[in-house]
Amino acid sequence: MPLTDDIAALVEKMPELDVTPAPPASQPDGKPAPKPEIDPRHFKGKLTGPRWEAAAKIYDAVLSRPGGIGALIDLVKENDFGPAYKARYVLHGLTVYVCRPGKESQRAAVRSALVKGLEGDRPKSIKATFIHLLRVCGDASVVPALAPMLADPELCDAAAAAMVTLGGNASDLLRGALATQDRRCRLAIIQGLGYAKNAKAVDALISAVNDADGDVKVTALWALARIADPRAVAVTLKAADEGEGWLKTQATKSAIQLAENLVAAGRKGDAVRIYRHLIETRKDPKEQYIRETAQRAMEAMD
Amino acid sequence: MRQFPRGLSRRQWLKASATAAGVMIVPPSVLGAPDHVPPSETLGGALIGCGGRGPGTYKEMTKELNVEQLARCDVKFRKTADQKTTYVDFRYVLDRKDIDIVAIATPPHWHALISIAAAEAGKDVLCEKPMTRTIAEGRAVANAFKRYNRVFQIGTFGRFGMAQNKDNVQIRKLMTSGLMKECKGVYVRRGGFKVKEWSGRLDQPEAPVPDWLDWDLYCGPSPLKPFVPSRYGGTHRWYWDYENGGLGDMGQHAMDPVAWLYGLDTTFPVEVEASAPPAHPEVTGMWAWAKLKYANGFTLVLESGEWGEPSGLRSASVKVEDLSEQDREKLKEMPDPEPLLTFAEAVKARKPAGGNAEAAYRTVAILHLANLAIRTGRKIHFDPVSERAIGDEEANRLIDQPMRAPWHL
Repeated sequence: MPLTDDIAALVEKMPELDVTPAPPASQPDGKPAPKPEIDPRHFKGKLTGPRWEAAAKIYDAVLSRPGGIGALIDLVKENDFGPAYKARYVLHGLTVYVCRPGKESQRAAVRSALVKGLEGDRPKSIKATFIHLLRVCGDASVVPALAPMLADPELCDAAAAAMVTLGGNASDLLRGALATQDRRCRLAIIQGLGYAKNAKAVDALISAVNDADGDVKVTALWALARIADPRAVAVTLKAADEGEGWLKTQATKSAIQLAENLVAAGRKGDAVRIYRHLIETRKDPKEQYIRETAQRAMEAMD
Repeated sequence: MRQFPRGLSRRQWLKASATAAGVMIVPPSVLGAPDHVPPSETLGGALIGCGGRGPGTYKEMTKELNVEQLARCDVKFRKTADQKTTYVDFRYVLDRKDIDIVAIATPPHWHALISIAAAEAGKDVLCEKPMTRTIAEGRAVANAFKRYNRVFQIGTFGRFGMAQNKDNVQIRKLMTSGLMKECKGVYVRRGGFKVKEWSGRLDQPEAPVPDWLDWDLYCGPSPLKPFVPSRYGGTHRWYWDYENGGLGDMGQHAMDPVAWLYGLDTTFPVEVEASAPPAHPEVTGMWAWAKLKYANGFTLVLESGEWGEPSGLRSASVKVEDLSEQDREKLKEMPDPEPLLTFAEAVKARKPAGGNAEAAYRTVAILHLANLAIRTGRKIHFDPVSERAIGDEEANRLIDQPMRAPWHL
C-alpha cells in the first residue's frame, strides 16, 4: 500500500464524530422512557475521542513508518470540519505524545517534519497550525526556521509567540526583524522583544514609543518595563505625563512595572525616581490610587 | 522632569509628601475622600460584555450599592455604538473618570486583560466566572488588584453560604492553620461540569463575519481565526482559544465553596493527574476524572460522570482528631477566619472581598491544572511557590501563553 494511503488508513481508525442518539425506547409497561443523563441535543458533531492507549497505537504506527510523519502532515487540510477532522487531530495528539519522556528521537523527527511543512505554498492557516505545534514540541533549534514568518502579517503573531517560547536566538532574530513596515508584524515583534526581555532592543523600543500608532507606543512601553533598563525611565514618564486616556493609563502602568523591575534588578534609585514623580504629579482626586500605589511601593522597599 | 530636593532620604520624603497630600492621616472613609465610598455616594457603573451573563453579573455588582449605569460595552455593538453610553471598545469605558465599578461578562479570554486594565484605571471589578483562561493570567490579575488596592469579586458566591456554618469555619481554620501535615481527607465532586454540553463540535463551517460584530476585537489576545458562528455567543466555551470547556467554566462554581472550606484558595496542588482522551487542538473534549493532591496530603477529585470510569476514590472527611493533642490545643488558640465581605461591603470598606482576586485565582487554578493534565496526557508536578510545572517545559507552555499583540498582561 502506498505510504499516504497507509497513513490515511491509520487516521481513519479515529472515531467518527457523535450523532444525536436515538430517543430511548418506551418501557414495556407503557411508562415513559427515563430521561437520559445527558441531553441528546449535546451530542451532534462532538468528539468523544479514543482512549490514550488506542490513540498511542496509531501514533506509534505513524512514527514507525519511514516518512510517516510527513505523510500525516500532508493530510492536514483547510476547512477540515466534519468527518475530515481526523488528520489534524492525529497530528496534534502525536505531537503531544512525543513530548513524553523517553521519546526524544521521535520528538526530533516530528519537529523536523513540521519545519519542513512550513516550506512551500501550503495555506497560511495550515502553516499557522504547524507553528502552533512547534510551540508545543519545538526547541531552540527550530527558531531560525520561524524567523522568516515574522514578515508575514498572517503568521507573525504565531511565529513570535513560538519563538519567544522556544528561546535560543529568538531575541536577536526578533530584533533583526524590527525594521518591517507592516503594522501587524511590527506589533508582534515589539511584543516578542518584551517577552524575550531583549536589552539590546532598548534604543529601538524607545524610538517606537514615539510612533504615531497608539498600540505600538503602548506595546513598546510594556516591553521596556519588562527589560528594566534605566534609560526607559524618562521616556516612560514623559508618555505617562503627556498621554491621554488609554495611553496615559497604560504608560502609568508601565512606569509602575518598570519601577518594580528596576527594584528587582537592584536599581532602587531609578525606581524611587519613578515613584516620586507619580506621587508629585498625580494631583487629580481620581488619581489618588496612583499616588497610594507609588507610596506603598516605596514603603515596601524598606 | 521635576527634580526632588536633594539630601532628603526616601523615608523623609515619603513622610513629608504624605503629610502634604493628606494621605493616611485621617481615615479617608471618614472624609469621604475620592478613593473611599461614603454610604450615600452614587457610583458610576459599567457593564462590559452584554451577552447572556451580562445583565445578571451587572445586577450582582450593584447589590447594596447606589449605582447609576453610565455605560455598556460589547463587540456586538459595532453598528449601534454612540461612544456616550454604548461602546464597542472597553478601553473607552475605562477611560471615563465617572465610572467607579465595572461588571465584566465577556468570554473568559478577555477576563484577565479587562480586569487588570480596570484596576489600572482605578475601578473596582465584579468579574463573571471563570476568572481566567490560564494560570499566568490569574497570577497577573491577583498581582494587579494587590498593586492598585482595588476590589475584585469573582462572579460566583458559593463560599459565602459555606462560611455561614460554624462547623465549616472550624474546618477552614484547621486546613489553613498549617498544623495539618498528613491529611487523609478526600473530596470527590462528581457531575455538574456540563462536559458534553460544552465540549466542542467539529462539524461547524466558516461563515462571513456579521457586520454588527468587531471580530478582531472579539478574538483580542487569542489567535485571529476565521469566523465560525459557534466561536461566538455562549458556545465560545467549546474552544480552547476562549475558554476551557465545562471543567474550566462550571468548575469555578463547583470549587468556590470547596476551595474555601478546605483552604485550597490559599495554596496550590502539588500533583495532578487525569483520565481523558487525547485533546483536540481547537475544541474542548471529554474527560473522566482529575485527581489533585496537596502538600498536606489532602486529595481533591473531580469526576465528570460523562465519560470513562470513575476514579474509584470516595470522599473522606477532614478531622480535628487527626491532629496531635498538642496541635489541637494550638488550633484552639488561633483566631477564627475573618468573615467574608460581599462586593458592596468590600467597596465601602476598601478591603478585599470574599471572592477576591487571589482566592479566585487559586480556585480557578484547580481547573487549569486539571485541564493541563488532560491536555498533556500526563501527571503534572506543580511547584506552589514558582507556580510552574516541575520538569515539564511543555506543560509550562500552556501555563503561560503569549498573547496576540497588542494585548499583553
